[in-house]
Amino acid sequence: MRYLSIITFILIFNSAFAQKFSVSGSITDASTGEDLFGARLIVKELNNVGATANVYGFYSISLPEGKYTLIYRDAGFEDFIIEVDLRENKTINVQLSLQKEVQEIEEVVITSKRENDNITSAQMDITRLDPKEIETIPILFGEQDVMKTLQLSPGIKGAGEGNAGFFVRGGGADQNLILIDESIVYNASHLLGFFSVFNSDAIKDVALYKSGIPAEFGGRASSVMDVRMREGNSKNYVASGGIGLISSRLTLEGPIVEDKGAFIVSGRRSYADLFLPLANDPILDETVLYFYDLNAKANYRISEKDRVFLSGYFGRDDFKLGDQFGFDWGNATGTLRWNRIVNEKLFSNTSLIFSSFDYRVQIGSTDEGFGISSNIRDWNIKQDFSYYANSDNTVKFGISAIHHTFMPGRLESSEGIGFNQIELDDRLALEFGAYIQNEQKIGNRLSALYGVRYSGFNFMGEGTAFDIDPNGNITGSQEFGAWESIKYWQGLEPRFSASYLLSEKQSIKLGYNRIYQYIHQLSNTTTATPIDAWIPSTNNVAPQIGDQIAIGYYENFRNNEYQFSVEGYYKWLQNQIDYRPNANLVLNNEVEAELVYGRGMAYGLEFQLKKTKGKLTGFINYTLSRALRQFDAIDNGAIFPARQDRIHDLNLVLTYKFNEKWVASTAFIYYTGDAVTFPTAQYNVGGFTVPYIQSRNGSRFPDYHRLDLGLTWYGPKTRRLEQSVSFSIYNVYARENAFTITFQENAETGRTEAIQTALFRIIPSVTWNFKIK
Amino acid sequence: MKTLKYLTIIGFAALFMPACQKVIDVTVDDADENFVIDAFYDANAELVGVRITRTKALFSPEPNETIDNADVTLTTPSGDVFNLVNLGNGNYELTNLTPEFDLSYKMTVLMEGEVFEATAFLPTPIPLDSLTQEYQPASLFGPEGYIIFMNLTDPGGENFYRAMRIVNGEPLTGLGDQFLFDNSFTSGNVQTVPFFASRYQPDDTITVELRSYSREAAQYFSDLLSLAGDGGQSAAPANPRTNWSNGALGVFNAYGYDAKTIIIVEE
Repeated sequence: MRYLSIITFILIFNSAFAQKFSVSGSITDASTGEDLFGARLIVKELNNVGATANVYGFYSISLPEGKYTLIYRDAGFEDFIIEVDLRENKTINVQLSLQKEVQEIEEVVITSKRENDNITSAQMDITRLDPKEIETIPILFGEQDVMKTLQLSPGIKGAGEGNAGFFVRGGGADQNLILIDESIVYNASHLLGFFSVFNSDAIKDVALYKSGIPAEFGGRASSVMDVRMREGNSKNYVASGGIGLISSRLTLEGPIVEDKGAFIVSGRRSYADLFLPLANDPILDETVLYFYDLNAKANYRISEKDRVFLSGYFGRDDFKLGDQFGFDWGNATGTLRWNRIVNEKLFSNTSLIFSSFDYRVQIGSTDEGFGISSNIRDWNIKQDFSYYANSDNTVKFGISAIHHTFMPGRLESSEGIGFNQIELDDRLALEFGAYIQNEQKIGNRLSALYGVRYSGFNFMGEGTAFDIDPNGNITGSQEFGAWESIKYWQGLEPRFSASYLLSEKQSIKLGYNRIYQYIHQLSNTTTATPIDAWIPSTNNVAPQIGDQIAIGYYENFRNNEYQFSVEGYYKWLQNQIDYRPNANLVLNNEVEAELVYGRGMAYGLEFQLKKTKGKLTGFINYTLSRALRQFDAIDNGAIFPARQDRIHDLNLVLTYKFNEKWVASTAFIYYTGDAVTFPTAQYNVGGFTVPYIQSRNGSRFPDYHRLDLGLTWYGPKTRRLEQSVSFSIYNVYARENAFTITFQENAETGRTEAIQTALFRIIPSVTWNFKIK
Repeated sequence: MKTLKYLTIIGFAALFMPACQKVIDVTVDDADENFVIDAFYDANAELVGVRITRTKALFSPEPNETIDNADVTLTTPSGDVFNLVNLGNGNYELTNLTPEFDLSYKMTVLMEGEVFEATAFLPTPIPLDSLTQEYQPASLFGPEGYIIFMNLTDPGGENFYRAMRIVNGEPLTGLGDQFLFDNSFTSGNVQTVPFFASRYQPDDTITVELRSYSREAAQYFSDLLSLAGDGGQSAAPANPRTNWSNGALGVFNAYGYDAKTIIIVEE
């Protein structure tokens, strides 16, 4: 409550000034009608005074009565300049036109929203990607992928080949809140991590917060990845797409009613399996292996002040080997939103959100076999407000409630196979959030983003709650009726982020956040896959709590051409989850009895040097970090490295633009091998050689490194057609990076050997992209 | 489920390219030395066998050092105490011990001034009704051939099975050759359990021993299997849970079995 009164005080203090009028409206792209999230309004006459368009393109600023020159600006667009005599509240809707030279090379522009945004914004270290910016970066199988590209940023680490997850600053793979149009994505990968579920054609913006996380977000202890879908072109009908080695994409968009509404439908399907019958191999003939994504969104302006959006994502993976084995999984999300400009200063967004994820494993056929399935389903209602109090303060506040249904597992078998039908109890919970935060400018040098979030979690019936002793034995159980609270967890989460400008080119920033995480993903393997179940916090499982402090120094030089930053952080994680030996996590009603609890610590230094202009652009990132865990039940309470404890992590990405037609790029990735538990001795039991385990994660995989190359050709543009062809080579020098290492006895020498399996060697690919207007 | 996961990943990768395997150098920490007591009571053979060794370094080509001067005793459920015969080279034995089913046996080992104890429960073996065969075409799971099924009637309650095979006179002793299952999803049912991954050809003779174990013994084998078959992928790798006291590794288990034989005929 203390935080709330501080905020209230500051607001009152700041609004006690003379008569002011507001200028508000929307900033959109003149060619497509899409909202320009992050576009700026600069007031020429006033130093350091301006406004930024929110994710719906809305901006608002309050200024004293007077004459002003307003400059509307966004990267890649011509400035729009207007002079106003402000004597009343004004609505100014602005459409920005593309810069002429940019129109020709639109796809290869790499420019931040404002050249020194990295220095001036109060938000601590936000990693932001525009899908267009990453088009030329070489990637596995030529599939452009925002998630894979984010993993080249400092502090964000991919979990490795054949692995779906990613780790942010030493946190677990389940500690990342992944949102698409506000809806939670529970499994963000296709084909077990080789591709992400995000089809770049349908995506407008991706932001990843790893520290100083704003109070509007909650629920995951380590990071927020906020993905926003495009609204669609409200001026013209456009078809665009691409044909690659693995998948093809097609996007259709256009106006519903010109300038009033637009739609976009974007689909992607992999088709490796379509070629399998050509192999003329009876085994491959019966194999099904594909994924698809469908993104759809429509928006409509009901009135000057009201606008509605309906968006959805549907994606699925399907893997089948004849009638012997089947495995399919997928996400479905839906978001219905209503934007309302309540008045010049108050913007409201109301969202009703649905999200679900499910998987099914089938052994044998449905006539003769059995299947295991599981799912999680959320209904979420959210109300957010932005209050543009004055030119120095923007207040955001809101509330949300999520109803979670966890269906942890069901076994269905055909008659006569001898299996019983099993259905585990549903687990139900309500998750609440309420927040208030203010973004404030204090003088010309200091800006701060501060707020607090209250979160609550009601684990409730209908269901059974177990009493479990410290050794994992069930000592009792109690039945609860529908909606009856079994356990209520809650917490206050202070958030803070501030920047102090040392000069126009230098700043220091400081961030702190606390986040409660009430749902947890269980995995008894080190690789994350779709069958890793989510469970709620219960009477036995406490919420994870993440605290992080971070400090950074940022400097731009040579006219913002180079951006340098160094950030340090320390993170504390409470109530981390690990497993008893040989924990059974599938189809286990008493899965909580398999868990043990401990704490985590992570700290590191992240260096980044970026070149943002000229023929040669790119970045080099180096991270020196540790990620540690401590559990009383593991290694007698000793501190041990987490799997993702990659001490050194280096990423280099360079893009060279030869001319309007040719762009070349390269990426080099190096990191310390993951921490892993290898045996240290061996013995014999019953004729078997048994490895002896001494300590958790006491060994290392070999270091990971690889080099990728890419080359993109842009075809001549006509009024109707744009096209490009991208060639890439993944892992140019065919480094065999370890996927697994097993220990086997060599039959000839009798000596134990370490056998490494790698998934990929060198992989060339080619993709053709087009746009028809 | 872990196996399932690897199968899927490797299966997917296999469709695009062969996975690359090679022997690499890995350095591991030195480990402390531990006693290993590997003891069993085979009720069918009426034989108690014990082998006592020490752990050795992971990459050592030497055999495990044996403990040749231990005192090993067995206490039967009825309270009789027998000393095992020291056969030398780490082996100890007791023959002609008539089983007492659904009761516990206690073993005590005295060596180098330390005492180690373990108790094993001997469940009544569950009959194997029959073995049957079924033709399977080639698939990613294996070449063309016949798979065999165990047909059994689970009596209900809590039962743990370990099936071992003798193929054309050769016992299969590889780690992956033992087939562990239990009745947690099938309690009280007539069951048809396939050896799914093995394909046989006409005239192959397969004998299956369906062994019944206690929960603790089955858990030991299951722990052992998942640890030994693990490629550094388990999130919670740990040594198998043993019933030996005082920090010794290994297990003392007691089992009986029912066996059936099938000769594959061409269909």
